[in-house]
Amino acid sequence: MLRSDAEISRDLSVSLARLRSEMKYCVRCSNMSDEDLCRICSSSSRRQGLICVVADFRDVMAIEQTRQFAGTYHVLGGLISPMDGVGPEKLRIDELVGRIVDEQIHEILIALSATMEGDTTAFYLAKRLEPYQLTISIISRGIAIGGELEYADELTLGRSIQHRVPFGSQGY
Amino acid sequence: MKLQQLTLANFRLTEQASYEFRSKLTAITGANGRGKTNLIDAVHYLCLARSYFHPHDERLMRFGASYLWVDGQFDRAGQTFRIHGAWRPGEKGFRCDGKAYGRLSDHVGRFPAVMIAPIDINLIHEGGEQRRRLMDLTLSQEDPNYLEDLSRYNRLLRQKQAVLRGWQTTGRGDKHLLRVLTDQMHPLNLCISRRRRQWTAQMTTLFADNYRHISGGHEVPSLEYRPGWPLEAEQTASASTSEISAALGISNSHKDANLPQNEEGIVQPGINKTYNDDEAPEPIKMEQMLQQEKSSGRCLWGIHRDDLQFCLDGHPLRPHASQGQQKTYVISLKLAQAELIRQATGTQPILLLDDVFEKLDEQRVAALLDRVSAEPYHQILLTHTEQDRVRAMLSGNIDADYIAL
Repeated sequence: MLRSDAEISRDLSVSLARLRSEMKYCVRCSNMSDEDLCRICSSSSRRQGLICVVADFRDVMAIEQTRQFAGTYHVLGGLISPMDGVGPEKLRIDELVGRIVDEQIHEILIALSATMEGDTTAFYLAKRLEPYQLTISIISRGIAIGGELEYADELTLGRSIQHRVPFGSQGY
Repeated sequence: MKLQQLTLANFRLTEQASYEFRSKLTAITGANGRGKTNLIDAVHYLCLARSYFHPHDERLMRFGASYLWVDGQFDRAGQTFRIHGAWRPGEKGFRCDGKAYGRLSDHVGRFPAVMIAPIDINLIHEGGEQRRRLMDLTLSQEDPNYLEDLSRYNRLLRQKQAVLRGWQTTGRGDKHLLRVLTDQMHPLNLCISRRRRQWTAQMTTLFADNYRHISGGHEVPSLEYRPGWPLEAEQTASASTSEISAALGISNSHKDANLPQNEEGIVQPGINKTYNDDEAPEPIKMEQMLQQEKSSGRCLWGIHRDDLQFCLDGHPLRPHASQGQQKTYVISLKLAQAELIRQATGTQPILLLDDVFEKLDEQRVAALLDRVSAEPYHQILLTHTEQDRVRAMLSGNIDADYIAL
């Protein structure tokens, strides 16, 4: 920093100050935003009846980069882990239920980490959302594209065999 | 399989030392406190990524050091492997030929070892945790899926116990969360319990044969699996949770757990193994079970409450058997454990015998040595305080080297 142009340091400090003062959470989905409603929630081109549930706003960025999802998001703010003091009441699950009622949501896509806590949260959401006539789907798991089969861990490889798909589907 | 060379640094009392193992049997001798047990525990650590005696790695590090490592060269079926395991506060890693394992569990079972030590008598005298550990140590080395299932179960158990503790303290809680955690644990209960039941059946024959050989054939030992969960699947997983279960690869109902597998020639991995109705314990209602757990604030049913019943001539071992009989029983179990691992993996485990002859009469010592030298054990490391006594006991029956500490 000391060797670089002084203007770069000034810009950086202004940006950091703006980040702290202007960034907030979207009132609907809890994604990071500089407006009350984030760009995704306020976009007319997004399918409003479809919500992708993620744990963290960084997951929103990851999914957006795929350009494969045209619905809206709901950021839970974490995963259920009672032993770490994170029960369902600490996450934005009641807000999700509220959105399902208010926004006439017909499909939920669960996109959570493939961990025990991710699974517990997915099961819990499915249980809580049971009374609402919804389609609930979950992102699939398997071998990474471009990955060598011999380096895949046994669990992932085993489940990929178990949940194999017909050849010709999914772009093969 | 054979360990050819071992180097350790900051492991217990040893700052740094290297050893070579050339013969089928290596006797490590020396007075008390010279580090005999630490040396074979270092071999156990190298093979299984954990000490046999100390559950926490920080206890293994030499006083004043900031790290420890063990490094060894194995020969397995003519191929050489170099394993390096290191620990420092907050960081533990194992490498095979310079390549780090993604998970420590990937190392477990590749270079199997079985320890027999005086503290094994705790199998008889202490709680069920010791006996579950015996089952887990064998099954984890036989089958990586078992270890994965057990880790998942233990994590879910900690989560559920946290929920139940909160429930007991406040008198209320989230019933959906309690049910979800119980549902997630259920297929793991089924699978782990089935594997332990199979293990007990396999062990019974092998260990009774060992016992008869070492004792001279006068007593009849037996072993019985006691499941800690009289719960059979009164599962009422809803349609929506079943869909999620299928996507996550988790069988969440008894029906799912019995999916046909042979027609397709595909074995259900890990937690989706099948369960035989004949093995099912007495059913109790799920809701009734959860109610009792909420009242007690503890998880009352599950494989974490499993146990083994040890008997000799039809009587419980602990109050009736002599110390020598108890020791013979435990040694017979551990030799059977080694044999089961060999059958499952095709690799003969290294046998680590720590001060094993104590409390055995001469006839039993001779029979034990006859057993381990006659069986196809590739490598045996044993500790003893007196080298001359070991030489006399072995009496040229077995190819042996000596390390004097």
